[in-house]
Amino acid sequence: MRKTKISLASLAVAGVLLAAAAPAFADTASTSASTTAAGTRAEVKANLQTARVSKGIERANAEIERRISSLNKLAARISGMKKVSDAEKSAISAEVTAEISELSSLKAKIDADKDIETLRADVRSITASYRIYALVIPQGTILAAADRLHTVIDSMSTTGAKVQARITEAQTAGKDVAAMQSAYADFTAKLADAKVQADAAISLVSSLTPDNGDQAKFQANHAALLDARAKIRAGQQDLVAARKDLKTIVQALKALHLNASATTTASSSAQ
Amino acid sequence: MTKSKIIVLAVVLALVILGGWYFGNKPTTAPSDKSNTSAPAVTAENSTDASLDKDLQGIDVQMNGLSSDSASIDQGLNDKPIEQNP
Repeated sequence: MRKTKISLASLAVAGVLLAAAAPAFADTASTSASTTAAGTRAEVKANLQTARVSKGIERANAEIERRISSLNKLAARISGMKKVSDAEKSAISAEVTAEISELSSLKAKIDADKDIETLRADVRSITASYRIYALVIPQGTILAAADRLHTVIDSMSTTGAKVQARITEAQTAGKDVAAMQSAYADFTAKLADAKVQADAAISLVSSLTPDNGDQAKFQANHAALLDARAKIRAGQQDLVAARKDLKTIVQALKALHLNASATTTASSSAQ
Repeated sequence: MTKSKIIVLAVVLALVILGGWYFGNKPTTAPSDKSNTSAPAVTAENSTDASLDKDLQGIDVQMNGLSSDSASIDQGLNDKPIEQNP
C-alpha cells in the first residue's frame, strides 16, 4: 500500500514537471520554424531581385545595341556622301560618333549594375538619350538621300547632254524632233526642281540640334524633319519623271534609226 | 614672369584668338558647290544608242539606291524604342 502511494506520488510529480517543460519545447520548435521560413523568404526575394536585374539589363542592352547598329550603318553611309559640303558631313559625322560613344559607355555601366535602383537610374539615361537618337538618325538619312539626289541629277545631266546632241543631229537630218524637244524641256525642268528640293532638304536639317528636353524645340525639329522628308520625296518624284522623259527620248531616237555621227561636241557646263 | 615672356604669351594669345575668329567665320561650302561642274565631253562614241542604254542602266541603279535612302528616312522617323521597365 505504501509502495503504491509512493509510485503514484512519483508519477504525479513527473507529470507536473513534464507539463511545465512542454511550452518551452514548443517555443523552441516554433522559433526554429520561423527562422527557416524567414530565411527562405529572404532567399526568394533576393533571387527575384537578381532575375529582375538580369531581365532589365537584357532589355536595356537590346535597345542600346539596336541604336548602335543603326548609327554604325548611318556612319558608313555618311562617309560615302560626295555632294554634301564637308562642313555638313563633318557635323553630322561628329554627332553620330558622339552618340555611339555615349551609348557604348552606358552599356558598359548597365552591364555592371547589381541592384534594381541603379539599373533604373541608368535606364532613365537610355530614355533621355532617345531624343538625340530620334533626331540624328532621320537628320543623317535625309542628308544621305539629298546627297544621292545630287548624284543622280549629275548622272542625268550628263546623259541629258548626250541626248540633246542626238536630238540636234536628228533635227539637222530633217527629222521631226518636236516630241523629243518637248520631253527634253520637261526633263530639264524636272532636274532643276529636283536640285532645288535636295538643297532645301539639306538647309532644313543641317542646322538642327538636340532639344535637351525642350518640348517646343522638339516640335520644331520634328516639323523640320517632316518638311525635309517631303522635299526629298518631291525631288525623287522629279527624277522618276525625268527618267521617264529620258526613256521617251532614247526610244524615239532609236526609232529614227540614226546613230551618233562622228561629230564631237564641246563638254557641257554645269546645269 | 619676365617682360619678354609676357610679350610672347600675349602674341600667342592674340594668334589663338585670331585663328579662332578666322575658322569660326570661314565660309562653308554651299551644298551645290559639289555639283558636277564639268561633265565629260559628248562624243560620237559615248552618245550611241548602246551607250545611252548603259547610262540609263547606271541611272536605274542610282535610283534604286535613292529608294533605299528614302525608306531609311521613313524608318528613322517612325522608329519606336524597346520599352524599358526594370
